[in-house]
Amino acid sequence: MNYSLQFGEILRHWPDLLAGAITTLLVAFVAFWVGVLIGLGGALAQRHGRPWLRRSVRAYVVFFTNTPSLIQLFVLFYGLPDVGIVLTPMQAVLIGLSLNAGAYLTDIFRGGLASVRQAELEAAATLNMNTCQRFRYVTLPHLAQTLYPMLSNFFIWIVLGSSIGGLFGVDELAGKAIEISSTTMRSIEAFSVAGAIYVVLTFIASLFLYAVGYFCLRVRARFI
Amino acid sequence: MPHLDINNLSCSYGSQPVLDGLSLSVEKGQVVSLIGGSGSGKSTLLRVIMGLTQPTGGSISIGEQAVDYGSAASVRAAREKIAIVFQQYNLFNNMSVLRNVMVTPTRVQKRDERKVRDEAMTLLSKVGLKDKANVYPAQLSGGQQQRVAISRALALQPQILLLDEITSALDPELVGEVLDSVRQLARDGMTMLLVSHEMRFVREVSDQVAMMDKGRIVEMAPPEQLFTQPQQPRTQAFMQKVAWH
Repeated sequence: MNYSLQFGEILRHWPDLLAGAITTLLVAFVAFWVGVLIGLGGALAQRHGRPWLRRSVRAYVVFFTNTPSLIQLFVLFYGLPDVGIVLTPMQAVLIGLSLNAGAYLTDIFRGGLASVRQAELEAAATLNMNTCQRFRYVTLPHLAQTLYPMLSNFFIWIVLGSSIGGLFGVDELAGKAIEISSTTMRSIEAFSVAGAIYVVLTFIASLFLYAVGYFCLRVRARFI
Repeated sequence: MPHLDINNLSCSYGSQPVLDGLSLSVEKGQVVSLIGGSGSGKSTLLRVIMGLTQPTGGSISIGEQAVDYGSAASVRAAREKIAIVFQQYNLFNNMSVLRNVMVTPTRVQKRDERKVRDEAMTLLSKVGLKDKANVYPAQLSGGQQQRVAISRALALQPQILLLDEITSALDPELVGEVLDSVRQLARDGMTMLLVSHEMRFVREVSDQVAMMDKGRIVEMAPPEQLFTQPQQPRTQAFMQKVAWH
């Protein structure tokens, strides 16, 4: 064991790593927000939809929360071309991660909707608010406030989970690390630097999310 | 012409009748109180008037307008004229006090924001909560929350105000401040239909008191008469049981 660590080789690639980190955040951001839209829609459909719709949403959630994300991406990236749908790595990863996030978020939002106070909705009805206004002024703020800590954790989870994109050749942080490791043959250094950047990313993201929650949503969540 | 006219109203939960051919009218500027044991249908009556529970028969008119509870537009029109304050306040917990009061006039009635703000502040100062305009409901006592709820209802400029046991969830020492606000409204000539267990208050503030039992009004009279010389056996039994405090 006379391996000597040489970080210089890796740190020379810092512009690549920085670009990768930004791509990671973008992928996570898109997957998270698409997931939030799917999750909200799914939760509302499960609560208010017709039986066939409720069952379809349930099937979607069960499928995506009980299969590995890696398998889901394999199907999208390697499976779909067989039926004539060819996705770029980025498209496959974005679609896969969004659908995956949507399934988890459907369950999260379902719990959130169940905890909205009926009395507040009733009061809103007597004040002549229509369905949209009740959602906008009662349900949505309640969800934002009560689910915020869970949603910020989920965002961090997606930032880390998006590293799976590296396996499909998406130029995000993990992908860059794989590339740098194979060109420099310095695997320990490449991946430990990438790991450290992930820590920094999630720390900054947590700090930002905490500030948003604290100042905009009056969420007094614990920081880290 | 009564302001609120309820005719032969029925309502049932499943096969259980809650309101059973109830008739009642409230004149403009009158305060009518509903008393009676629990399960007698008092709160259900208010819920039916507000369109929260569907009636199974009978009719309700507000002003000259009959309300069709099967039609969303007709219920909307009724809710423009009647406001309700609930036992559990039911404030919007995610909004400040001022916003609770302002949200409906500005967002639903689309009235001018600045004007509504002035009115809201006036309403809040009337109930002694001007300095709490920017705090959230969770930071207020029950009595304060209930006074905000009263302001929120009044901000709609209703013709009739329904009060559903608005002091029942309060600590005893907070009841007074809420009742004072209602007394003030009665003096201002607000038409009110209220459900209350505060007998002394009912006696003092009402023009008419209606004794309810099994979904009907068994006796309705001015308070002095109903409290001192009840005619019906059910009312007599009730009067003997209620604690005078």
